[in-house]
Amino acid sequence: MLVINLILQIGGDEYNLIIQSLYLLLFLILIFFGQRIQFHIALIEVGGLIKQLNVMRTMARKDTLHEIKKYSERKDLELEVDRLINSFMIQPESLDPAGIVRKLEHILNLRENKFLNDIKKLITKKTLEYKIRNIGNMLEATLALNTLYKVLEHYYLLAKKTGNFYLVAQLQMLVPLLFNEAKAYLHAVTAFKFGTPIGDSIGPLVAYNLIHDKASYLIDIKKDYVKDTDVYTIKRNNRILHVVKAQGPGGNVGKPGEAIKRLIENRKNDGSEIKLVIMIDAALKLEGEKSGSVAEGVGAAIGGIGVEKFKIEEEVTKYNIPIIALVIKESFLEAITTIKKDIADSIKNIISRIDHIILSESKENDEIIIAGVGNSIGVL
Amino acid sequence: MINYIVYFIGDLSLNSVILILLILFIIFLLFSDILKRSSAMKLSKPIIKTELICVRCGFKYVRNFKEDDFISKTTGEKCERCGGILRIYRIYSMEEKRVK
Ligand SMILES: [Zn+2]
Repeated sequence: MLVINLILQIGGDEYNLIIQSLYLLLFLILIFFGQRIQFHIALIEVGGLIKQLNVMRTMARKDTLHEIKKYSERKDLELEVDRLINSFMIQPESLDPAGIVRKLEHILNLRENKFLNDIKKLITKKTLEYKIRNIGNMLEATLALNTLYKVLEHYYLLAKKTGNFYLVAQLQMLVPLLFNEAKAYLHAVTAFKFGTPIGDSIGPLVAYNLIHDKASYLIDIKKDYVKDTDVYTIKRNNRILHVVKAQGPGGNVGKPGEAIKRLIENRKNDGSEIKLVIMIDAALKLEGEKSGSVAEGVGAAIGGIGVEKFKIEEEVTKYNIPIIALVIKESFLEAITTIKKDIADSIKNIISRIDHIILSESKENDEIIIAGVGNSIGVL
Repeated sequence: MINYIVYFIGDLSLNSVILILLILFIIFLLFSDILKRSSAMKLSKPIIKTELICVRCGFKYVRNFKEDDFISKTTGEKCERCGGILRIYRIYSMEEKRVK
């Protein structure tokens, strides 16, 4: 009130002068402190997102812990789960890249086995193997979310501590994108808990549908052909198809690369020959592409760190076998959460595409490998 | 108080009107931005469906997903038409429903 009183006592000219100087002051403040103000606004925004990330991380951890508690009576469960969530893997040195794939494979296998064994040690009640695998997948998603949070928090605190505007500006640009990723991981935890097929399961789903299709005749089943991977041999369109698929219904991607390699070698030893390899996998779509749309190309369609891909490429090059890739487009969120209807609906389309490829690229009685690549959760 | 305001507004120069409008505009922008952002951050809950097929007569059923359902599982449910065994052949999520 006092201020208004004061202003009112002043005459028109002086009043305008005050307003003018206020403008000038504002102008100077913006020139000299503009960046600092922006810095603090950005810091508040990023801080809010990081707080939300923390909530999501806690939710994921709680969910996972709750699920494990159903099968375990151990008292130190929380401690052990935190130990698993904070575990890490060191990639082999790439300074001398010769033989790095072999080293990488060793480390990856080691990690996978140790992770699963550690979970098995936690579980004291009698539990089905596939349930344990799903818990493993839940833990993986929680681990990913935890790592994401820790890295972002690190940069946030660093920016805050050093007052570095550019650091926080970068965070401000990245955090909304990474937030979507975090959201995907949180949803993934739920999908793995229920054990539903996820978007990435489209490969095994196509394999399953191909095997059980009316036009296919099952000849042979080889469970655990290589670790966690099954091979079904069927007759379809007068060709012999070896369908490779990770073993379900637990969350598991198997070793399709190793399976394809061994199939090609074994058929060679038996005096037969693989004439064609077809791979089916989910691929990240571009923002404008439709979910569940199918694209066709050549090459090894398989994600991951690259060990399996390397093996397939080595093998098909060695025997000069053509390799065709069918990919189903989906977003990152769709790939790791319960499969959307649009994507599940594309299965029929893919199978007819496979038939088309088989008929045009091979002759009767040829042997063909069909690999449904992806996580086989929820698909036996 | 009201007297003051009326008096004050009556005496405003063009400069201060612009200043006040500018401040109001900035506040509006800030709020709309925050609102937009917070709506994008909401988590949604999907509806998951399980489709079953009768092994004997091929009749199809759709129901909500239950835990432990997986594709190719026979759930022990019976076909209403012929009493045959039902097998799960499809699981998928429908459009998402907003929660909270
Ligand atoms: Zn029936």
